[in-house]
Amino acid sequence: MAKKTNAFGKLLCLSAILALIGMVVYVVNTTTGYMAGLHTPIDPLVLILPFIVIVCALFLTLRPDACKGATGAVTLILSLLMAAATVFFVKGRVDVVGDMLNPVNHPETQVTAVTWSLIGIGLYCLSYLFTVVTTLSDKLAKE
Amino acid sequence: MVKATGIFRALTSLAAFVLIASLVAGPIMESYRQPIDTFFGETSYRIEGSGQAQWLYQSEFKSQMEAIEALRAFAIEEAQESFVLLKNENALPMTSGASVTMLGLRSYAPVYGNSMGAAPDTTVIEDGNQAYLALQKAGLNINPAVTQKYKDWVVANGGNLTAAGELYGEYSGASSSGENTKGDLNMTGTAEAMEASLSDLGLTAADYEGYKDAAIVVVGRPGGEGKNYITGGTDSTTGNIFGLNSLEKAVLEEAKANFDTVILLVNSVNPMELKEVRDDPDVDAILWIGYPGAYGFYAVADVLFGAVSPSGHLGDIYIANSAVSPAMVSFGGNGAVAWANAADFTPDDNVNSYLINEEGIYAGYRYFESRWADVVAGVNNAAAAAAGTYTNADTTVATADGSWVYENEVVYPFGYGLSYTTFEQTLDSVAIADDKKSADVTVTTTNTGSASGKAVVQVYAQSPYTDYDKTNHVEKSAIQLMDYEKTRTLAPGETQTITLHLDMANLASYDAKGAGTYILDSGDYWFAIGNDSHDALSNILTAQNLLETGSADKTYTWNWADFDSTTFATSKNGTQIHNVLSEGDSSMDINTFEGYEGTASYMSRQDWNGTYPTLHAGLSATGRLATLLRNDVIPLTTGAEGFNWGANNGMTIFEMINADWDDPRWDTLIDQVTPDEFVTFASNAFHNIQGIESVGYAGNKADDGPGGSDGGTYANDGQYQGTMFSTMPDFDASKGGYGTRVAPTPTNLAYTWNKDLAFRNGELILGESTLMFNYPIMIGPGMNIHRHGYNGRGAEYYSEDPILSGYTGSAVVQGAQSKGCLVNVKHLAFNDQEINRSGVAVFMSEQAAREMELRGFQQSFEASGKPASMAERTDVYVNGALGVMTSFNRIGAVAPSANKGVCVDILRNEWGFKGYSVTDFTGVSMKAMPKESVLYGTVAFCGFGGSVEYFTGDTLAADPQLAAAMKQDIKYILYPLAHSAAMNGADPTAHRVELTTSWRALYRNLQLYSGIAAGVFCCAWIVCAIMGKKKKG
Repeated sequence: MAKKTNAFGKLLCLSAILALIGMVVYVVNTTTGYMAGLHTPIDPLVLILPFIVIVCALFLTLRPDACKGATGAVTLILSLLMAAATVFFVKGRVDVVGDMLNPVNHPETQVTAVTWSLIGIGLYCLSYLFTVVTTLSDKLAKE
Repeated sequence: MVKATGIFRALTSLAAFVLIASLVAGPIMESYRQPIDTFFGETSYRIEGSGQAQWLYQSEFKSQMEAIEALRAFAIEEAQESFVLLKNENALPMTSGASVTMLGLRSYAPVYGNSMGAAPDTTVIEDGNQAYLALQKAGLNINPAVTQKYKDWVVANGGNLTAAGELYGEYSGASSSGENTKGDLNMTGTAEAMEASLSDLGLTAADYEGYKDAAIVVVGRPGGEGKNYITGGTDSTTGNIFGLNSLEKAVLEEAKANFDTVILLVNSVNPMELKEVRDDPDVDAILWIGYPGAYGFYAVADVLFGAVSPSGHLGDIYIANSAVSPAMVSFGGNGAVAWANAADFTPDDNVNSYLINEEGIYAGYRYFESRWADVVAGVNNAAAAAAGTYTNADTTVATADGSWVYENEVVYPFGYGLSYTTFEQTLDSVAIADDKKSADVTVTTTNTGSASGKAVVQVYAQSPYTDYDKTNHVEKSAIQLMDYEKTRTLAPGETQTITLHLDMANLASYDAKGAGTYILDSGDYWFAIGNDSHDALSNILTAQNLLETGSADKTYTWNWADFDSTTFATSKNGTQIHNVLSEGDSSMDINTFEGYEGTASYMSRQDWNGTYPTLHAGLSATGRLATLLRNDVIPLTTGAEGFNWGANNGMTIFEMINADWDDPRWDTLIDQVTPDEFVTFASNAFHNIQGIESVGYAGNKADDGPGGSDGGTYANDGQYQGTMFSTMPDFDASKGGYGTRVAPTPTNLAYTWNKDLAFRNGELILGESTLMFNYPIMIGPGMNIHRHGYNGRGAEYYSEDPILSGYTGSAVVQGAQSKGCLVNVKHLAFNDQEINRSGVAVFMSEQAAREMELRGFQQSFEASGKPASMAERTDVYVNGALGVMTSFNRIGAVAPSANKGVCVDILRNEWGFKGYSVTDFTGVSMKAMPKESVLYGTVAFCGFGGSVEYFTGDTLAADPQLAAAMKQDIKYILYPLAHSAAMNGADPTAHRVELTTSWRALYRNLQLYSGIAAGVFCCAWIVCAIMGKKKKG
């Protein structure tokens, strides 16, 4: 991280890290255990959108002046991308979470899968909220 | 530094987030429309037509208050007749105006009903109908100080408190909260029953002053769907949850120490262990009340005061140690029956555990009474018993080999029940038809006591247990219920003669090994009447000179000299009956699968001790059995030709109202339906009947029973022929939350032994739910039998006996269908536990399957069990049930809806079922085996669609077998709909109009306003940014 990165820049970096962890959780959650058994497909939007956010956020963290004059617009776009990724993550888990409302015996693996899904969604939500906070500032570098 | 530009950017982002979320949420919410409607208590569409509505079925209630009052009166009547007087040492009836103290937590917070399927309307209870208030209103002076202490205890200890501060034991959250420190509500693990300790309550002798006419002690056990009991782990004498634990015993001791009269109310549907209290001379009376319903304690008062003499009889045997019976060996409660290689299967496979019901037909009283008969006769190694298989005199499990003693095992026999009066019954005559298919049994009942009351006529039978049976493993119960009737209220000295028309098919035995069909052995047959099953068997044994305590004159015997494998080898509709559950993929006998030969050793009366069931833990699923467990059995093919789909024939379903099955116009109508319409119909069946546009059917909602409507539907939503109650002048909004869930639970209904009452229950509880709330389908009644006492959902089912269960359910079906209700008899079949209910594979012999569980269901599909009072009526008991819901558990190795033996060979062919078959909350998932289920007559998958790729109209219609099956299934949809209230109030111009519900308004407004907000904030940001730059410049 560049020394001149300000608090908003650092928050953007944190947002990228959370998104990255969320992505790992999503991939592992989707490709292993209960979800894998259901042959749940990976939604590319849930990976591509945060990937863009991560790349851009890390770049801006290292080069906070890179988009001078357009920083606000860039962070707004990043937040929108993260918002969309979060929503699509949720969309992909509605059925399996909804199935938990069905009062039959649910295998432990399903409970685990749902728990990790919720953790992943929580990470995306936090990442998104941090990007929203970064949009409050026009700059990511210190004065 | 945060500037206005930043704030507008953040607001733009947040608004955009809401916009995206609401855009995505809209379609999702639409796909979950039905449960969301239920949650909000709304309807998202209505059916509109020309106004030329036909009201084929008419509600008997023209206003809200008519409905409420009639339902209330019926609920009380049913409860009155269901209570079983188990013991009475001159303590009952009580004097009106007596001053009593009610003890036990359940005296203040009783179990009114079970959770979910038969949960009572809480609004009704909270509206001044709580137990103690009902008893007070009926004239009982209840000790207020003690009741207050229980109330304080409940409030202090949390639990499930409603707004009124009451605790309804088994209600919502009971199984999942895990926060209730008393723990009983979960009923899993080793939880004790809930009870307040005397020290916590701070009760002293002074608290009882002025209210010492009697102590009424109430003990109870909650139950409900998804709930499970397991054995052991409590501090009761047996260690089981159905024995009184130390806290409950302390309450009873407190009552005995301070009161001369102690009355025990048993507020449990699952049989409790009552030997200690039965034998306790200081407990003066025991009254079983089950789960008495929302108004149930008015009925309790009526019985306590003698306004009504109790006339209920047990529909289950009450044994001393609930864990000691053959069926409990393979009870799935303690997790000992998991497939050893379950982890090798995928979630789609839904493989967890199995049950091998080695007890065969010897479940419930059939075991205890048959073994006792052989002990009396000194045959079949009946007296010797191995450790762990019999009960000591003190109700504990014997730990050493010893002797099997009936008195140690059984507390109250099946059919037992006392009254405030006495009856004498005579077996007047028996006339067996020449074709052996029926028998008329005439019984006269005389009230020989001093109080008015109703009596139950119970007719039992015994068939010979022959060498042929022993060779071919055909098992025979020494006693079995054949039929029953209830008398009218008889005044002292009054007499009533009733002729029962017995269906002798229920006497036949299924011989899977030898004849491969139903048989009648050669030998001596017996009929007997009795006050209960043990009494009737005693009468037979006395007539056989094996016993001296019975009444031989209450028996009738005859001899059939020839072995008969033809009379009952065809069903009532002429279908040949042969083995379908003993071979192939539908087999329920695990021994028939390759690699499992000899796994199960079924209990045989030849050697009671030597064939007592054993647990077969640790089996792995392999070979064909494993293939079946993977839920994908029949390969899809293509090349279907000659099927006419989507034809423009110009017909509507309304032209086929009440049309015969053989009417050729059905084919014309069916050709109009497209494969996609079938798939859409089948996939959207959660409390919903999807419309089929091509035949002019706009669709309806449906709801869950069996205790009435539970879809959040109450008088607010009631209507009479299209006019809403809420728009009528006498509508009382304060009672808008009153519904149809007011009667006692189904087990109580069975314990009335009153077919007419069961018919009326069907008319009101299911039928009027259909008519008042416009739910053509009501999911009920529940007709699984009580294989043992540990099914947490037992209250939704009737009895351990297939005839009592079958005739009660059949009467409910007939009553409901007379109102146009398209019943869904559930859960076909073998759903006798909630543990692993989804996925558990149930195995048993074909004889046990056919003579126990299936024989019960059969009665409702063949419209059997017509009450004597309706003998002359020709408008009822004509058509069997027109709908069925399959179970969660597997039948054998396959999904219940994909078991051809049960769903096609037996249900459709032998029983002639022509109706709607729906799965139980599977959606279109692999665990429901969708293509196999469609092939075998399933027309709907309860749930919210699904993700099975092949389940599309094009794919199914391309397969010749499935295309033909779909054509047939479409008829299975349209025919019952055309014979139900789905045709009510509609007309050929009817069409569906989507309504703007609150949840629709919510997501649509969010889309609109968040979109506007995002745009505005974005513009504001841009303007601020431009202005900022100009300012800088």
